[in-house]
Amino acid sequence: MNTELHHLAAAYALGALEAEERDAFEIHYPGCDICSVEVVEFALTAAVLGERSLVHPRSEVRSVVMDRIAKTRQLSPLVEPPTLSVPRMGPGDAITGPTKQRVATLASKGVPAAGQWRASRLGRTVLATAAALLLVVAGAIVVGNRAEEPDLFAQLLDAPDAELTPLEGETGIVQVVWSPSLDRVAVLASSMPDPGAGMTYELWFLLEGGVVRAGLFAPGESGEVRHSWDVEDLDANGWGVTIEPVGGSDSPTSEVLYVGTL
Amino acid sequence: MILREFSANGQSTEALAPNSIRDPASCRVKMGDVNPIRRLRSVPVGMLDLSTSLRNTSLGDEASFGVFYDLTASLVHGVVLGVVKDPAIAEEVTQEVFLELWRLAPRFDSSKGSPKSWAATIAHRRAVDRVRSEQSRRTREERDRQRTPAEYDVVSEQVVEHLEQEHVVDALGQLTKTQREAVTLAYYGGHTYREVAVLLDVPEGTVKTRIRDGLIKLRDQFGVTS
Repeated sequence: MNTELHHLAAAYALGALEAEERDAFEIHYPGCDICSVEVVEFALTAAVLGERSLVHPRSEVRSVVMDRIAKTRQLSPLVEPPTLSVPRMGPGDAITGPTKQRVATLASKGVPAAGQWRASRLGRTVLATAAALLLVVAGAIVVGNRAEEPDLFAQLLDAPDAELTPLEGETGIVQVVWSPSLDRVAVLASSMPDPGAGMTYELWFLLEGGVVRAGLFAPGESGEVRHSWDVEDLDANGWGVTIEPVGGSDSPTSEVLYVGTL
Repeated sequence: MILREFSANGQSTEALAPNSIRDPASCRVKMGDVNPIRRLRSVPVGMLDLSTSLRNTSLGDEASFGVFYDLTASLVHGVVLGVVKDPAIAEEVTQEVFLELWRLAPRFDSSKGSPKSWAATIAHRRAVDRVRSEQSRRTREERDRQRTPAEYDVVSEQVVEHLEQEHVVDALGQLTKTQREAVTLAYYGGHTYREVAVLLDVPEGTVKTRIRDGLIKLRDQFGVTS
């Protein structure tokens, strides 16, 4: 896998990777000494290729752009994360430096830049652990018939393209299961804190350049969350959860409390 | 925004370095000038360079973004038009690219490339995304058919500045035919390397290698170092 990824920097710089490969490479290269240098060099090279035909757009384009930027908020810069308490991932799986930093960085910037995710061995362990946990949870849902819509959960989990993403946060993990083919998402958690009076949790699609709301959910009295609903068909590359006023917000107003990348 | 920064940090000397001003004739600030800051206020923002305009854009300065636009528009639009071909769609994509550049400006990291490569990368990615999403959805096709031919003419006539850059053409000429084919189909054609493999009827691994070897050769010819 890694040997293959090492040879993708050139194709990546030319935009010649398919979405899945591009995502995988974007997770790989920031942590790879060879690829991270190559990506910069090949991007500079591709930019020169881009100069082959300089075409000035019509002046109307400039007016439209200037008009639109005046109504568009810029993203905040990336800042060093504040110190966070160390959340527990599971038995013996304390989050260590890089992962902790990643959570904090993603949280502090609200929107992740695709190129900045790092895959870690720990991340994969967490994923595996989470997958195992989810199977148990799913089993409980289906067998115990405790969920509101057990058949929808089962259907979602059985979908061949169902993707499980553990969202990491200070207070633990929230699982998101998503099936693009069913356009359905489920949120599962065992002990989420009460969001507070008049507040609710909101799940967000993390996209290349921003976030789109995915839906609202609230934990039960014991902090349990088992909620599933239909979502838009979007090319998401991760999930984030914030706390918003009841009814939800159009863009996140709190810091990102849980975050995970596909 | 720019002026405030200059006066606040006393960097006016550096800000007046000739290479940051495109028209040397306007660079007339002398040691004896009573108030160089006051004089700076009359320097149009259009005289500032790419890095400066981007830095000030990241502080939310719209006029600086206008400068950044002026300095990169033909590159961005050239890249976009090259991939999407349709002038009307290219205009839409170019607008989206600049909106994206505006939003992302505060996150620009000069250690990861130049402002130009940053703009070109985002432009190319947006163009490719557009082409690929159209391929899969085909919703545009109908709209295109409905668009009157006259509209095309208006747009294409007004694309006046179209410059073939010889250094790029020459560099591409230095590649082997197969390398050039692979690089060109991928970058200008907006195809994935898998699609290029199908187009050329060669194994995917071969295309990856041709792209890589071709790009290494171009990198060395362009004298790119990070």
